[in-house]
Amino acid sequence: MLFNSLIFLFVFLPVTYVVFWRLRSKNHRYIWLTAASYVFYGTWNYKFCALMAFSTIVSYAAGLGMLRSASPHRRKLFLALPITVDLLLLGFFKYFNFTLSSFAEVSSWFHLPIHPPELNIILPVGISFYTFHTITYMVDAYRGVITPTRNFWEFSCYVSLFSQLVAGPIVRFRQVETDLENLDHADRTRWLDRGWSFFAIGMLKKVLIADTIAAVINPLWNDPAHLSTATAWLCVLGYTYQIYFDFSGYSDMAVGLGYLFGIRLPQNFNSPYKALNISDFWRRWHISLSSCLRDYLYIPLGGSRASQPWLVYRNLLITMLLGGLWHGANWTFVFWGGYHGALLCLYRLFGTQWDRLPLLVQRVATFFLVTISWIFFRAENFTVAAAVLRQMFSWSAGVAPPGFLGLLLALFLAALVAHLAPNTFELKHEWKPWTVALIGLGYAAALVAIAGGHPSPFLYFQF
Amino acid sequence: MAERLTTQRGFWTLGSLLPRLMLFCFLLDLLLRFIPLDALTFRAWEAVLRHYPNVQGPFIPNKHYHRDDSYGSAASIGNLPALRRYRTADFTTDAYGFHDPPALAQPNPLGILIGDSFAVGSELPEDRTLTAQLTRFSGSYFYNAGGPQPLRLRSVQSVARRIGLQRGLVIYEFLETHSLDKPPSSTPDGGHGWGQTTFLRLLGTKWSDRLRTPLNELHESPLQALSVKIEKKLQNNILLPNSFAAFAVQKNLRNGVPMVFLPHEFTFPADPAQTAARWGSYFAWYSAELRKDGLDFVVVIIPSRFSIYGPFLNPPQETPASPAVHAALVADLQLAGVPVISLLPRYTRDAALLFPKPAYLYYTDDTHWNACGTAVAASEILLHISPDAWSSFGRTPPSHVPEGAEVLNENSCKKDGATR
Repeated sequence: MLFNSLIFLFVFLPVTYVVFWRLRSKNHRYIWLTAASYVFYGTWNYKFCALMAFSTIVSYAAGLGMLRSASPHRRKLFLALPITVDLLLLGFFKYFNFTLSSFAEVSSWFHLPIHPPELNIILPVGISFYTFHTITYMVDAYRGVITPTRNFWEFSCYVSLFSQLVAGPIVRFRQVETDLENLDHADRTRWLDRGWSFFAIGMLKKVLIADTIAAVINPLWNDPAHLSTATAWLCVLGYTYQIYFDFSGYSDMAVGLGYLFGIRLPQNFNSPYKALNISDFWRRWHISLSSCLRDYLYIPLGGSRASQPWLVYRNLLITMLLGGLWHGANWTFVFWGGYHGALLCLYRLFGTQWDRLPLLVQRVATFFLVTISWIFFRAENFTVAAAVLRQMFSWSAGVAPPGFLGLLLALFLAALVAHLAPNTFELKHEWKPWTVALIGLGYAAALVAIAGGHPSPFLYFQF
Repeated sequence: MAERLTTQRGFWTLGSLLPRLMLFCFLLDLLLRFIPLDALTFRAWEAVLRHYPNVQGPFIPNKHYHRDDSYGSAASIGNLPALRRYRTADFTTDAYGFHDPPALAQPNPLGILIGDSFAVGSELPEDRTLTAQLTRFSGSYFYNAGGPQPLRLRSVQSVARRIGLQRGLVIYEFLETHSLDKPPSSTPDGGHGWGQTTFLRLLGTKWSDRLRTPLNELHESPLQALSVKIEKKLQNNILLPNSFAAFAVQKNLRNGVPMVFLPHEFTFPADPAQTAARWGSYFAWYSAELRKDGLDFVVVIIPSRFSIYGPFLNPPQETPASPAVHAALVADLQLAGVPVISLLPRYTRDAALLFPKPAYLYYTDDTHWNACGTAVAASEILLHISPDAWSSFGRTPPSHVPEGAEVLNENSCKKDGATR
């Protein structure tokens, strides 16, 4: 089920919302949200509900184990065992075929033809996200940052909460613990306007901007070798804004939904295209992922306080390569991660000189470097990426693509919002009546677009 | 005053406006579902079809639909306004929900036609559907029991009893691409999935009938249809690219005339022999059951538009799969003792004769046959009925069945666009 589908907007959300606020007890609300979340997830493929339930039970048991055991060895076991199980599941569903095909590819370089069988594995939607939820929970419990919950329903509600289940933000237990604990005292009206404001803005970003751009550029990406230079640039620029408005739109909707149910979810985007350098970019882009990578991978590797300077670069590269791989089983994602890792290393080396550049130059240069990286993120393979780059940097004329006018309008609006406007967390969400009416009109237009076409899935559902 | 201001402030907040907006949309959608869809449709099908029929037929009973600017579904599905061929659409149903205009009905019918949308002929003038052409050429009335899917056996028997058909013919119109589908199970009819069927049966006839009426009304959303219309207008390739174009395939005939296909028209079974065997046993069972009621059965296999016009495309596209499917089906049915007529040879020949006019057997903006196509089909079917068969039905054979050039020279087959 998608947030931008009629069934979600007109059936799932109202029913879940009304029943939730009719319930009074904390446990009833946990159970109801869990049940609703499983229905939400099950509409995609009900068989994978069992996988999520299994992961939830294992992690919950591990948390209880840590709570009841004082022995460091046992606590380590309660950490290592379920994380291994979670990572094995993730590895099997997401990386098994990729590993085998990569192995075959490498062996063919040495003239050792191996033809491993390709299993027909369906990647469970959101597995990367809920696996992160459970892992961060167990690591935090082990480190003593949180006290594992004894309430199974509270934990299952945290893992499966529909608003952030399939595409994040990656929420750590400590970030929602207070709101979950006080769920029975939540005030329905307190965050009602704020919640709807987040949700509506997210919807407008996704349906009116990201989907409009996608409608024009998606067909172009299918045949990059025949793009004109201008169209190739529009294609790449279009994707740069599409992915931001798609993913930040989803995150805004998730945060808005969280508010509607009395749960505050963390900020995931902080105007990333206003970043002054690549390090700044990663503090603003997909914050919940980058902070997880920092806290659970980069710092344990030694972080920036490593004994040798080269180790810091190694840590950066490893973190970003794995961050790239997390996005999908494809070498283009690994390259994308490596590219960002290399930029971070370069910034670490030449940051002082970079920071002396005029602010506008820093901002534009960072945006340009990030834009180039999206080519590898979007391309299905390196051939497509190379074709797009070739068309961008060698002159060839051509005609405007179908929907050119809509693309220009959407890009203009997207650029204004991304580079100049405050982001959703900077807004006060206290709107004047005419602004409310304007957002209402936009929301109605989004409903027409949803009803008139097939709801377009969010880009981050695949990761 | 202060209270009024407070109320106003309360309404003009997103937390108040957006849920109300959604509730309004929901209620409006619900209300509009009880209003006929006619104004929002471009052809009869969507306006008259009932998804939970509570009469024998699949359409709203005693309904007359009329539209002056109807056009083909392929042009609509692909959102290709430039390729629409506008025509007048009339669709009248009888009291039982079948496409049998009472004005054309005659007593003492000779046969029943069952089949899918080809049999229904919703895009054709009402006096040019296959049953109308059969009636015109033979002088004996044929009842049109076509629907979205061919009627199941029990329903055919029931229709035969109702119209008083004791000795006669049941014609099963079978589109070649349907050989890809699984035959329905050899059981009395269902029509819906097993869950719905069981549920409606558990309710009993009275309550099931009562439930079907609102279910029918609720099935189609005019608000959604309106949204699709708006979306199609915006997707004009200037403001937005036409994403609907992916659902249709535009090809040009070698005389430059564009023909819009739907992707399923290019799909043929990988193993014609296997699919033919499956359908062969189904039809053998069907035929044997009808014979118990004194009814003869004949299967008419219709080639898809691509099978006929593939070789006329620019560049030409051969369709070897189609003859294989027809040959396998004919062989299997003959082996099972089921009379079968393949329209492929006649259509191949007549399409070539008509092409220079230019005139066609199918619409260029729709997957279905046109009036010329049904005339040729009716002629071919009647020519296959032997004099013995006519006497076994208690009828005298028609004095003259038009064939060959005679059919192709009549009004139905004049220059393209003749179907209005």
